[in-house]
Amino acid sequence: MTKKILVVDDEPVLTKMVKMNLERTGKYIVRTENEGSKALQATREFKPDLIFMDVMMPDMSGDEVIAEIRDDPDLSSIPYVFITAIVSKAETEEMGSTIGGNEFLAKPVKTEELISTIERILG
Amino acid sequence: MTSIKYFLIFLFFSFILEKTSLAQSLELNEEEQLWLDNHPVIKISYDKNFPPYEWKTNEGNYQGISVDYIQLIEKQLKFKFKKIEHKNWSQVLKEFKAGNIDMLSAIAKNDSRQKYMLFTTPYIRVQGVIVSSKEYKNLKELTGEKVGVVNDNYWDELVSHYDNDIKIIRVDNAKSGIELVSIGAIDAMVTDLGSVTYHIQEDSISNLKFVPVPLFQNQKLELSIGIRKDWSILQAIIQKAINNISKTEKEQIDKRWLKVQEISFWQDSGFQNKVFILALIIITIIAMILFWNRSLKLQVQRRSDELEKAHKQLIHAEKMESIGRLSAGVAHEVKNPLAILQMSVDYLKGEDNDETIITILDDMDDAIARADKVIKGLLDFSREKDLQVSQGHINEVIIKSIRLIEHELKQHNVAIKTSLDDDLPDLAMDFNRLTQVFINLFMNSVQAMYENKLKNCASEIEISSSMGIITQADLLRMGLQSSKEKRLFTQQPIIIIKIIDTGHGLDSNSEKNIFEPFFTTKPMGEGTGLGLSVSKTIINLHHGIITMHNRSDQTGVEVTIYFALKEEQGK
Repeated sequence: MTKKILVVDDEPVLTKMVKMNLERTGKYIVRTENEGSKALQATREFKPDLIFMDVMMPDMSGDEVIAEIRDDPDLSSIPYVFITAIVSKAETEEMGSTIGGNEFLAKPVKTEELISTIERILG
Repeated sequence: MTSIKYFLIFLFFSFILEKTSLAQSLELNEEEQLWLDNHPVIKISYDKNFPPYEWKTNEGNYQGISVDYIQLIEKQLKFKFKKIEHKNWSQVLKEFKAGNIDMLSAIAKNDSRQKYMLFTTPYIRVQGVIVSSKEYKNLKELTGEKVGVVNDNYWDELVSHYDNDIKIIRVDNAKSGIELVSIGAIDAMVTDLGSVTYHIQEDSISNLKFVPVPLFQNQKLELSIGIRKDWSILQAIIQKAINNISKTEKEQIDKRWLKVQEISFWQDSGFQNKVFILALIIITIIAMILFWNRSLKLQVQRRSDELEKAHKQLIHAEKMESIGRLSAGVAHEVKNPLAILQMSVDYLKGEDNDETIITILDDMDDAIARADKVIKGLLDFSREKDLQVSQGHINEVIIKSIRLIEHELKQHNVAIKTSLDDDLPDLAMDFNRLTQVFINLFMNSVQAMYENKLKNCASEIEISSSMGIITQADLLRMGLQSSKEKRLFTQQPIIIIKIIDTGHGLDSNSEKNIFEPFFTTKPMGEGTGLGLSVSKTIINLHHGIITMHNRSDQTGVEVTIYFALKEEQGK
């Protein structure tokens, strides 16, 4: 069964490439969003199985978006993973892939890392 | 100054030696010669204690002006007088009166003596003086005072006849009289200038003044040779001899005994002592000034060194600060494009590609990883200030770090030798940060030993941990600035970690700049030049100091890390 993945990042080219890489596997349907403020609406409409969320975005930061999603009882159970540019890979290892209890990946992330993360979380 | 006063007084010191005709052979007439032949024994007595005229030395010889004159006379007459010795001058006079002595070498003429004695013309004339600590201007002022005179000498009679109200204290010789004046036992002493200056100089007496005795016509002491009353023929003979003494001979005698006249104030022993003391004081002051100067210079030098160091540290801190700020911003901006590239490469790798393209894509993958590594270094930099502190054992950090690089060690055939002290106290530390430091140091060593294989030289890293006391050499290397820091590291034993490798070592430039941000010796693209800079900052945050130097035998590098033990450490 195909999984629905929502990818939010202010870099359109990046989200496009993530979409291409994931959908090529045939296992995922990917929706992309490039503005934090539109991500909540997209989540409601798309009802993804998992969200990849950028942290630093110009209009609204990733954790603010996630906070709103958490507040919506219909959406609060959707798992999410931050993709961040402001930590290094070494730190990711040291911190056991969590920041404040949230799972995260450090940019630049490889496609195989994305897939293994999805599979680990969604089973 | 007393010495100058002596000098001035000697300017009017009137030793007037009888002017005589030039020396010529002595001609005695028949009668005189016959008389002399018939009197082979002529007894003469000297005053034992009448310097500088005549006195007996400690060695038992008589010497002085009169003695020299008598010797000259003896030479001329080819005759030896017989010396008769008596206890003191008084005794001499007594014996003379009793007829037991025939001749006196130096005696002043006066009325009473003329009754029993014949005199030659005086051959010594010397000013009479009043010696005292006060300034008596004349004998009149001595009325009622205790005045010393040498018993039975010329001045005794003179003062005795002058005024009955003077309390005359008779002393054996001028020396004892002057001493009595000096200690204040008597008020004054009347004597001659020759004696006074002789004793004052000899005995370094400095509290006395002396003024000439002006009231008398006979204020000068005139010394003649005295001869017994019935021997007028001897008087004539002696007088002839005296007259025959040449001016040169007289001057020689003067020179010999009146050296005081020539003694300049700088030759005076009292003056010399004072000069010596003064010189000593001046030398001491100069030495102190020099010492002070030197210590000031050292202090200035030390301060400027400290200032320079502080300045360098400030620059370093500023550099770190701006790198931190810059890197956080740059990281975000660079990581997004990197992420795009990564995704793109991943996508292309999924297509059917020929060999060439696969190779190109792999290279791109590596390039992205490398760029990421640089960014990672920058980010570590910007975040190194926050430590996650807990109590831990430094040996555990070392052991974990070694385990994490096991693979590298094996790959490059590097042997590890550890000598870790298990009894080290715990440190407040950020375990992960310190691990990062040790991995960094070990990897640097491994890389420095890459070429050992070619050089046929064993690759080895030696790690030791111990409690130790800091040596002077350590202190120099550590370059501690504040005394607080110094105290922290020197007051008690500290933890010392040493890492020694057998690699290529550092050139002098590297040794100086090794901890500078972006300084690297590695080939382009292999190092960011931030590893050691970060390591140093992390060690410093742990109240530690890290130094890196070539080993003294130039066979590699020695890294030393010092951890001070203190409660507030690591906070």
